[in-house]
Amino acid sequence: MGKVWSLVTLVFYLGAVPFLMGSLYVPQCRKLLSAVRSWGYGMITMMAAYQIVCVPLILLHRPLTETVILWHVLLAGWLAVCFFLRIKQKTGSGEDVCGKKWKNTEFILLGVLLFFVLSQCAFYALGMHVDDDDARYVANAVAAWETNTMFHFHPNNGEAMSYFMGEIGKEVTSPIMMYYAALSMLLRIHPTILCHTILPTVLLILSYCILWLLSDEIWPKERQKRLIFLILCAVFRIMGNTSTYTDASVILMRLWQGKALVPAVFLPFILVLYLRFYMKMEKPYPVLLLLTGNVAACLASGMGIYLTAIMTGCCAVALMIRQKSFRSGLPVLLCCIPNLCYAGIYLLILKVILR
Amino acid sequence: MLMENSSFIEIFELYFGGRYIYVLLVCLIAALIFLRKKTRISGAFLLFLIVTIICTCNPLAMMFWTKIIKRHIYRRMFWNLSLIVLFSFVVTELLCSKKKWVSVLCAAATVFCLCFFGKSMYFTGNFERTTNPFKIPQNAASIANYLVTEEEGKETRVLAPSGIFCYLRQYSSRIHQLYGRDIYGYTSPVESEEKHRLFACMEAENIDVPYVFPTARSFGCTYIILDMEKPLTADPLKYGYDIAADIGGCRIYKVKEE
Repeated sequence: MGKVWSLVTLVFYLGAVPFLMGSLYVPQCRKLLSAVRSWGYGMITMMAAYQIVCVPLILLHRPLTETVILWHVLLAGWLAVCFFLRIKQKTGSGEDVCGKKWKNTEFILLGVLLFFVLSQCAFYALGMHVDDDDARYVANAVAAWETNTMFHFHPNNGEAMSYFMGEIGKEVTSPIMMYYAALSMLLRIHPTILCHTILPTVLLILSYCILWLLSDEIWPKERQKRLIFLILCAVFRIMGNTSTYTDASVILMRLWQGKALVPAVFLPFILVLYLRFYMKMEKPYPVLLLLTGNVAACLASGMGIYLTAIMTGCCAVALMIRQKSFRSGLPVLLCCIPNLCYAGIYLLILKVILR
Repeated sequence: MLMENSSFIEIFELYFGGRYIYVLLVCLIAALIFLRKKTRISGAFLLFLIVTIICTCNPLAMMFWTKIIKRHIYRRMFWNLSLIVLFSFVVTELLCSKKKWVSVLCAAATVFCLCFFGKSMYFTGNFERTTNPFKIPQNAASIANYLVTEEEGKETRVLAPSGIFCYLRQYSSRIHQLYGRDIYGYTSPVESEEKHRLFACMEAENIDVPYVFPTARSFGCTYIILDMEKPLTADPLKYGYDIAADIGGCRIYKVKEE
C-alpha cells in the first residue's frame, strides 16, 4: 500500500502538478511537446513557489509541515491564476510550428537520443556515487523529515543549533534540501532514497527538457537539427569529466545537490529566455518566466543566487549592446532583484546574526 | 589540486583538464563568427560569449569576483560560459551544412576532440554497484540499521570512525555523533579540544583505548564504533563497554548498563 501511495503521489507531484503549473506559459495546444514544455516550466515554478514560502519560515524557526501547507496554498493560488488567464488565451496559437511527419532518420536520431538519456538515467537509478558533501545536504533533509524542523539540528552531529552555524547560513536562503524533505513527506519516501535514486532521474529529464526548449528556440522548424543538438549535448556531458569541477561532472554525478541544478537547469533556462528577447519572439510572459527561474535558482544553491544573477546580467548587457539601448535590457536586468534580496538575507545572517 | 593562491590560468586549465581548451575556444569563436551570416542565433551566442568572458572569465574579472565570492569556488563561474550548449550548437550547424566536406571535417574533428580531450564519466570509476536503497556504503548502512533497531527509534549518541561518520546521519537523524565531517572547518566548528584529541586518536594507527573510551563515555556516547583492523592499546571491556556486534569490518561497543 505504501509503495502504491508513493507511486501515485510521485506521478501527482512530479508529473501532474508541474504540468498544470506551467500551463500559463504555454498557449493552449494539444500537442505532446506543449505538455513537455508545460511540465518543464511547472517544475521550475514549483521550486520558485517553495522558495518564496520556505525562507521566511526558516528564519522564524517554524516546522516543515507549515511550509508544506503554505506551499500548497501558493500552488493552489497559482493554479487559479493559470485557470483564469488561460480562459482568456486563444486556443491553438501554436508554438509547435513543426507539425510535419517524422522521417526515418529522425526516428533513428530519436532512438540514439533516448539511448543516451536513458543510460544516464539508468546510472542514477541503478548505480551509486558516494559524495561526502551529502553529510551536510542529505543529512539536513533527513533531519527535517524525521523531526519536522528546518535546520534546527547540526547535520554532522545532530546537536540542536541556537544559530545557523557555518555553511548552514547559506542553506537558509537556498533550502533545496527542505524542498526534498517536503517531497519526502508527501511521497512517503526516505529523503536519502529520494535524493539518490528518484530525484536525479527526474531532474536529469528536466535538464534535457530545458535543452529541448533551447533547441526549439534555435531551430523551431528543423526537428533533425534539434535532435542532433540534444544528442551532442548528451555526448559532451558524458565525455565532459575533464575534472571534477566541470558542469558535466556535477550534472551526471550528483544532480540531487542544488549546485548541480544550476548548470543543468537554470543556466540553460536563462539562455532560452535570452534568445527569446534577442530574437524578439512573441511568447507569453518571458519576464515573468525569467523572474521565476531566478527565484527557483535561489532555492537550488548559493551558487544559484550569484551565477544566475551574473548570467542574467551578462544577457542584459548583450541585449543592450544588440539593441543599442539601455531600456531594452532593463527588464532582464530587473529580474536579478530576487537574487539580490536573497543575497542580502544571506549577508544579514552571516554578518549580523552570526556575529 | 587548486591552491588558495592559484592563478586564473591554473584554475582555467585545471577545470578543463589541459591547454587544448584555448584552441577549442578560438575555434568556437571563429565558427560563431563564420555562422553569423547564416543564422542570427549565432550572433546572439557570440555576443553572449564575449560579454560573459569579459565580465567573468579573465584574470581581471577574477580579481574582482574573488573579492565577493571565495576563491576556491571561482571556477564555477566557468559554468556561465555554457560551453556544452555552444559547442553543440556550432557542431550541429556544421554537421548539417550543405557542403559535404564541411560536415565530414566537423564530424572528424568532433570525434578526434572527444577521443583525445574528453574523459568519460562512466568509465573512470565514478559509479559503483548499488548494495542498499540508500546508496551509502554498505557497512555504514548496516551499522546505522543496527543502531536504529537496537534503540527502537530512540536517539542515541555514537563515536564513529571517519570511514562511516559521513553516512550514519543520512540513514537516520536519530543517530547523533560527537563530531562529523570537517571537524576543524567552517561547516562544523567543533570547539572542544577534547573532541579534537578524540578525533586524532580515532584516526591514529593504534586506538588509545584508555583515553578514547572514558572520554567518549564522559560525552554520553552509548556506542563506540572501531575499525577492526586497527590495533587497540588496551582491552576496551575494562572501560565500561561491552562488545555489541561486528558489522562490516567494524566492531561496535555498547556502554554497560548500570
